[in-house]
Amino acid sequence: MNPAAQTDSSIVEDLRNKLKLKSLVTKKDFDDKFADFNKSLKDRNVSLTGLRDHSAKLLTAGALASTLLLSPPLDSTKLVPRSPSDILASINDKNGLPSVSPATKLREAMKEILPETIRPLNDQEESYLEKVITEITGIPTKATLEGEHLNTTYGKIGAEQHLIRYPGDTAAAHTPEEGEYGSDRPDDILKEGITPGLGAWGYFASSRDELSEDLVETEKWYSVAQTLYLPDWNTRQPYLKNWYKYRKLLIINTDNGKAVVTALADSGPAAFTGKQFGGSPEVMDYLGGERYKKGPVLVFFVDDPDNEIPLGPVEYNEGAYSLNLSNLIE
Amino acid sequence: MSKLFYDDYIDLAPIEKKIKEHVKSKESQEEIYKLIDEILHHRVVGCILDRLPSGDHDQFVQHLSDRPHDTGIMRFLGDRIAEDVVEFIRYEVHKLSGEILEIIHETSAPKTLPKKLKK
Repeated sequence: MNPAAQTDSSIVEDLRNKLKLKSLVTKKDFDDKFADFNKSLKDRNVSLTGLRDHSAKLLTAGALASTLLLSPPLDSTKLVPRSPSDILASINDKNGLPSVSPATKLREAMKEILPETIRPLNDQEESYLEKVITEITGIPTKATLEGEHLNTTYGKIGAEQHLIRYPGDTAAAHTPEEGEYGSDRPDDILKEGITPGLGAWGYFASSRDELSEDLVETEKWYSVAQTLYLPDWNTRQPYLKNWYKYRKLLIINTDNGKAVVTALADSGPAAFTGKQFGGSPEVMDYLGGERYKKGPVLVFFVDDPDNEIPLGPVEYNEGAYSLNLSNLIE
Repeated sequence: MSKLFYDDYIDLAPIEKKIKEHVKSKESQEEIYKLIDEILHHRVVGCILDRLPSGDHDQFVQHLSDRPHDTGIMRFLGDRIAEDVVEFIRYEVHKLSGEILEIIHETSAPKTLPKKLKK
């Protein structure tokens, strides 16, 4: 067989078949060895094959409360937190207004509200964070927007490559122009390269000429979330695919408080990577610097029905800051 | 949400990268991710059951069906298994990673005819 004749589609077919076979063999070995365990699971209408979907359904239904039974006491005390205004007031008292910076306030508030280990947040935690983030950054955020909720709002983000924007797009074409973010060190922005395939929503434009400034910004500040694991992803199409396309997401690095407004432009990462989100080279560079590859983040929808909030860094830490506690809705 | 109790201890990012190199269609990528995920669940739970005393299997089933996302399951296992649970899960995932990378390599490597059939 001529090597050139082996097309991409035959590679995919071959790979799919081999993995299907491996999956069948693995399941058979498991069933033979642990038949009683499998039966017990089946009696509870659970299968290992559908374990991730089962988890998604439980968590979507609000089963997080039962987490307390197996969580350490240290973690559970955080689930009876003070109100957002009390949290922010105590940070002010502890640090002494007005010297404490907004970034310090946000970091300390997150430390108070977030659990010790990364896990999906419950409604109360998300509600508190919405208020604190909106108050400090000025970006209106929601964990649930128009009835939609991401598969998690607290997880790990990983570095992604540039996305192909139009047929013939190259990594070099993503070089920041003078005055743009990263133009003083373009190598850092280009080092991840460009994806071999298209993002989940295909090309941004049909040609270079059709690529508007808005779309350039959309790719530059794009994010990735696991829409593929949403429990209703397959049953609510094409609505969900349209709803999530370029949806604005605020991403906050919980280690340093840096925040960036992004546009969702790809689905992933795969669950087995241990990450729940992805960020473009520019997003990752802003959140954590040139060597930042992976880290904990909060991801909330930006409530921006009139499309007034620009994509990119949220410079909320500029200048003097006066906290207006009366804005917090209790 | 799609968290499982052992997600924090797995990182098969190199496999995702390789798949993206060879599989361009998003739908095919996602189908392959799900196949790998299924294999992973069976291998991880299998290596746990190999070490968990059979008297504790029922309770493990209960936890797995009631709260598969809960990292507290790791503590439940740690209290009942002498070995380091994180360590042996990581080892199993590492082994699986090697097996899957080998499949990807076999599939994507250019295929040539055996020497005797070449002109």
